[in-house]
Amino acid sequence: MIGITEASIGFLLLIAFLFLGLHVAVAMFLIALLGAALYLGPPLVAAFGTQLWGAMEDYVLLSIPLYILLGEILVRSGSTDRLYRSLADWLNFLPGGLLHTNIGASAVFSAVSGSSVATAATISTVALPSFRKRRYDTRLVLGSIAAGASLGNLIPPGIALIVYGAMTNTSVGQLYAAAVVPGIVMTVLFMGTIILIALVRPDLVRQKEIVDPLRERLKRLVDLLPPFLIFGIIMGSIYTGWATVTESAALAVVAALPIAAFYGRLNFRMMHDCFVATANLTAMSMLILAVAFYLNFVMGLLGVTPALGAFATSIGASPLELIIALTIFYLLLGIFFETLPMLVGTVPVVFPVIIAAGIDPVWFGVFIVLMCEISLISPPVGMTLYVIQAVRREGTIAEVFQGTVPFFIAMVVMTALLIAFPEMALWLPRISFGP
Amino acid sequence: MTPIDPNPVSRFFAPPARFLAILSGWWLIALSFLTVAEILLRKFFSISLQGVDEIGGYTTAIVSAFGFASALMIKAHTRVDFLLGRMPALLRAVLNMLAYGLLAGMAIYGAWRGWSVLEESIEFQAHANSPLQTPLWLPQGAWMIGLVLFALSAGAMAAHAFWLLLSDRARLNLFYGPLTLDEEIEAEMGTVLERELKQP
Repeated sequence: MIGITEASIGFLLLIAFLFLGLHVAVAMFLIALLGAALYLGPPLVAAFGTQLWGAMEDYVLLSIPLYILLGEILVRSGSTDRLYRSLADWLNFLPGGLLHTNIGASAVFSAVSGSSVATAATISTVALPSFRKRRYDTRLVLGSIAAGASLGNLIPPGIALIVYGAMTNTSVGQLYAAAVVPGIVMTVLFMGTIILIALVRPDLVRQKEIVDPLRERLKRLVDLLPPFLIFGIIMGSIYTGWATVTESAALAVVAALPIAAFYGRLNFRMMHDCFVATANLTAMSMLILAVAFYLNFVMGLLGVTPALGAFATSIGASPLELIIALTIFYLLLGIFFETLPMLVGTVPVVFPVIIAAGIDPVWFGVFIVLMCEISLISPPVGMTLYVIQAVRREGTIAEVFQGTVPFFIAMVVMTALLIAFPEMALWLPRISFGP
Repeated sequence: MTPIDPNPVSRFFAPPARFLAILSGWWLIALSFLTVAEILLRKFFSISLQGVDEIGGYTTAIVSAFGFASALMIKAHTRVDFLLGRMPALLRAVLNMLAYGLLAGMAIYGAWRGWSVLEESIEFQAHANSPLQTPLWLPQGAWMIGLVLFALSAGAMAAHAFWLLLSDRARLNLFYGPLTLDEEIEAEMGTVLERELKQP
C-alpha cells in the first residue's frame, strides 16, 4: 500500500520520462516496474508476461485493428474525393462557402476512419487544390481542415473511445451513443464559427460559390452513399442488437470491400498496403495499451485507486470544481501531448478521482475525448497541423496555427456546453440502453 | 517507390516484419467474413458457430504482437519529441540511445516473461475454459513469434544505437531520433499520400 505522495511522485516521474523522449510504453513500463519492485516483490514483477497476454487477448479490443483496417480500405478506395465534391454541392450556399465542406467532409470521413491524422492528410490532399483557385483567407482554409480532422475521435466509431472503454470497463456501445450528440453539436459549432467569421469579416471570404443545377447535384448524391452506408451499418447493427461493437466493425470491413472494388481500387497491392498500415497503427496503440494494463494492475495492488479517491474526497472539491480543474490540466497537457499518451497516461490516475466525486464515467469518456481533440489542434505539438502543412508545401506553419484559433475557441465553448448540459452526452445512452 | 532504408538494422528486419503484418491482415479479413456468417446464422437460423469471439480475442493478441516489430521499423511507437527536438545534438544522441536501450530491455523482458506463459501452458497442457477447448499453446505460440521478432529487432537496434553513439552520433540521431514529419506521414498514410502528393 502506498499513499498519495508516492503516487504523485510516480505520476511526475512518468511525465518526466515522457519528456525525455522515451517511448510512451517504456515510460509506463518503468513506473510499473518501479512500483512492483519497490513495494510488491519479484513475483509481481514477473507477472508482466501473464498481464501482457491477459491484456492483449481481448475480444472488445479487436475492434481497434478492424476499425483501422476499415479506415485504410476506405482511404484507398478513392471515395473521399467524390464525397468532398458531393458535400460541397449542398453546403456551398452557406456564408463561408466551400469552407463548410472541409468540416462536413472531415466529419463524415473521420466518422468512418477513426483517425484524425489520416483525415487531415486525406482531406487536405483533396481540398487544397480547389482552394488554390479561390479567394478564401488561407489561414481559415487550413484551420477548418484541422478542426474538421479533430472530429475523428468524437464521432463514433473512434479509437479513443474504445481505448477509454477498455481501460475503465465502460461499455463502448454506451460511449458511442453518448458521443453522437456532442459530435453533431461540435460539427454545428464549427460551421457556426465559419458563418460568424464570414458575416463579421466578409473580406476573409470573398469567393462566391456557383451552385450547380439540381440535376447534376442529385446525380452526384450517390457518392455520399458509401460512407453513410458504412456508418449506418456500424451504428445500426449495434443499436438494433444485431451485433456487438467488435462484430459491427467486422461487418463494416466486409462491406467496405465491394465499395473499393466498385471504385476499381481493390487489388492485392492495395490490400497489402492496408494490412501493413493496419498492423503498424494497431501495434502502436496496443503496445501502449498492454503496458498501461500492467501499470493499472500494479497500481491496483498498491492501493493507489482508493488512495486517490480518498484524496479527492478529502480536498472536498465539488464535481464542477474538479472538472474545471481537469479542463485546465488537460488544456495545458494538450499543448505537448498527443491523443493516446494523454488518454492512457492520465486515465488510470484521474478515473478513480472522478468516480469518487460521483461523475458519470460515460460522460467523462466523452469529456476526455473532447480534451484529446483539443490537444490535436493546439500548437506547437499537434500532428494534424503538421500534416496539413506538409501536404500544403508552401507558406509557414504559423498560418496553420493562426487558422486554428477560432476553432480552438469553439472547442472551449463546446467543453463549457458539455459541462453545463451533461444531458447532451447522457440522453442518448439512456434512451437506447435504459437507465 | 520508397527509397532504400539507410538503416541496416531495419532493412534486415523489415521483410519478416512485413510478412507477419500481411499475414495478420489476411487473417483479419478471414475473421471478418466468419463474423458476418456468425451474425447472419444467429439472426436468421438461431445457430451460433461458437467461439468466434474466443478466436477474436486471440486474434487481438496475435495481430498486435505481429505488428510490434513492423511498427518499430518505421518508428511508429509513440514518443513525445517536444523537448528532445530542442536539445543539443550530443544530449539528443544520448537520450535516443537510452530510449532504444530501454525499449529493447522491455521487449526482451516481455518476450522472456511471455515465454514462461507459453511454457506453463505446454507443461500443464492448458486448455481454454470455453466451448472450443482451445489448447492455449496454439494462440500463445503465435503470439510468442511476434514478441520474439520484436525483442530481436529492438535488441539489434539498441546495440546499433550504442555502437553509433561511440562512432557516428549524427547517424544515431537520424536513425533513432523521433520521427521526422515525412516519416510520420508515411507511417500514418502509407503509400496513398505519397502517390497523391506526387501528382502535379
